[in-house]
Amino acid sequence: MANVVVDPRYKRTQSQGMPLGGDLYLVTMHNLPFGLSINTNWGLGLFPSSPSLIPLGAMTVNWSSGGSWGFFGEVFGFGVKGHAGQRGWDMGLTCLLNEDKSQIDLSWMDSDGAQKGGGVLLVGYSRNFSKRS
Amino acid sequence: MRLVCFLFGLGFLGFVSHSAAQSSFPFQSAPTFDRPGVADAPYSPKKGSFQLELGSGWSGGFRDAKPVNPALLLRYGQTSRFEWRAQWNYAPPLSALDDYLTQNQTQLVAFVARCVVVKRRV
Repeated sequence: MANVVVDPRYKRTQSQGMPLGGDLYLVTMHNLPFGLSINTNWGLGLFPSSPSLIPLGAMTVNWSSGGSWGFFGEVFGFGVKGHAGQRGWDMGLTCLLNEDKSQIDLSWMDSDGAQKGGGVLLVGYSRNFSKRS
Repeated sequence: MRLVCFLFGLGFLGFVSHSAAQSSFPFQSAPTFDRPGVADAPYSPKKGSFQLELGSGWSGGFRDAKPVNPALLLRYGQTSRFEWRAQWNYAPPLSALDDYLTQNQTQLVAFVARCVVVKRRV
């Protein structure tokens, strides 16, 4: 399966209080054999003090045995060399606590930017308000 | 307070990935967390569903850890192919880029309309 997603963004900052542009990129996902899948994100972003569009990109490899647990590894980057470029990677595991309701992710990441080694914890919850769930 | 932010904050370093790796199709029935701007999930919430994502992190290792500003994302699936997003404090990597460029701490608010333009099985 493959999806292509157009994801424009509108952003503003608290410090500058004005529209600053956004990102436009494609998101794809491909299922592979043995529980593997690959996600890609490619596009362009416009940042507060950047004079031009900055390329964005990420690729993630995921694996799950089909149960509640999954593992992933990702590389990402944006900007160009010599102009606010940043590259990084992360890897971690995820657990679906309650299917269709809650999920928790924990990962370790590193980059040549501000996030120099560190962990990330993400908790999510979803709820369907439609009549037919 | 730091600990609270550390544990429950949000820093969208999510993982798109994993939900995509969760068993077989369809994935839309499961939450699809992501790391906005770095690795977005390829799926949108189910039609009529709200999805809340909250997270945070730390930087610099365990001993000299500095908390990453928490972040929050609210997603709503208006149709099977279109979702709305509102997020506060953008993804740390991107806000870090803003910091790099402006040398200022930047709090970001973003509103996103997202559309799945191609959806097929291969």
